[in-house]
Amino acid sequence: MVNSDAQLYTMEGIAAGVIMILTAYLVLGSTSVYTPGDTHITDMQLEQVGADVLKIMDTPPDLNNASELEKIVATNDGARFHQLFWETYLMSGEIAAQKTTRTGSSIITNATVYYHYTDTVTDPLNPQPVIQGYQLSKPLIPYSGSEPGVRVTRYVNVTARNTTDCSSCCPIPPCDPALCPKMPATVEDRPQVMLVEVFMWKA
Amino acid sequence: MEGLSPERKEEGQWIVLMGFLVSIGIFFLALILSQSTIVGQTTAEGVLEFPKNDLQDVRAEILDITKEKSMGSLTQAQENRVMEDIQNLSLHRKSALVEYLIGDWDPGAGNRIVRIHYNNGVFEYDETASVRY
Repeated sequence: MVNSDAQLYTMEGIAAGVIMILTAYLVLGSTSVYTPGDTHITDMQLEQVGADVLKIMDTPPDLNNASELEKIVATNDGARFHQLFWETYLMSGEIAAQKTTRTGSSIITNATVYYHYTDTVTDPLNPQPVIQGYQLSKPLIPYSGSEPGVRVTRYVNVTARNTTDCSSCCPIPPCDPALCPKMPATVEDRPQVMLVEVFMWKA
Repeated sequence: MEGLSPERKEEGQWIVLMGFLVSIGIFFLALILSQSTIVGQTTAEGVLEFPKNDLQDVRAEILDITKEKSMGSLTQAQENRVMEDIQNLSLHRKSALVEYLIGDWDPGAGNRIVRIHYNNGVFEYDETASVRY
């Protein structure tokens, strides 16, 4: 008679081996399991970075100077905004917002400024508050509508409707105010609060 | 099944039992595994939902206006218009209700009371700040 004792032990050993390998695989895999297919985490990081960049830009260098963001909104300088927000801060190696995106992809931004004014033209007897927006900085690639995007905002103090001071867009005086980008005509000439809204997405 | 002693017949039972125990272990591992996906998502969603940056921004803006008021660079009419700006912008663009009240300067206490109310439907925030300017 052939002794089959050893066969049983071999089979048990193989079964145990399979179970051990499976367990090790699951344990090692569980450390990074939440990343694939979950865009919420990268969205959260991108939103935080964007809000931080706006906060940096809205911080004045000292008490006697306006913040960069304030100057940008006052002169409606979209090129300067894109240069600072995107190039200097968002995509810089130190802040490393690239890490919140997948390899080979970039972050596209679109900045809009919203302001509040009282409409006395449409119905002079019953003036209505109106929220109006204008584009500060255009995106490099148009938004396709399918990418997950985040929105960050920042309130900015504007002292007046500034149309004459164009020192940032033409540094060499005398400068022609007609060449400088202006705020829309409906922006009231008074100290006011405007909302800078930046929409960011990965493309 | 001649040649098998009563003790040897029980060996198969041990194998089955061990297999059973290991399968329970794998079941618990799978349970932890399925939980970890939810943990990552709910944490990120919680952070996204909490309007931390909005609150800090609105608060800083209101205190900034208080400062400008104290320095006399804002008239009462201008201050009222600025309040309308903040309220309308936050209501239309951030779907948040913001109300604030900048109190008069109290020479005895040497401060000014600023009341801030914020509500975006999910989160509500109230603050009574004593400002020394």
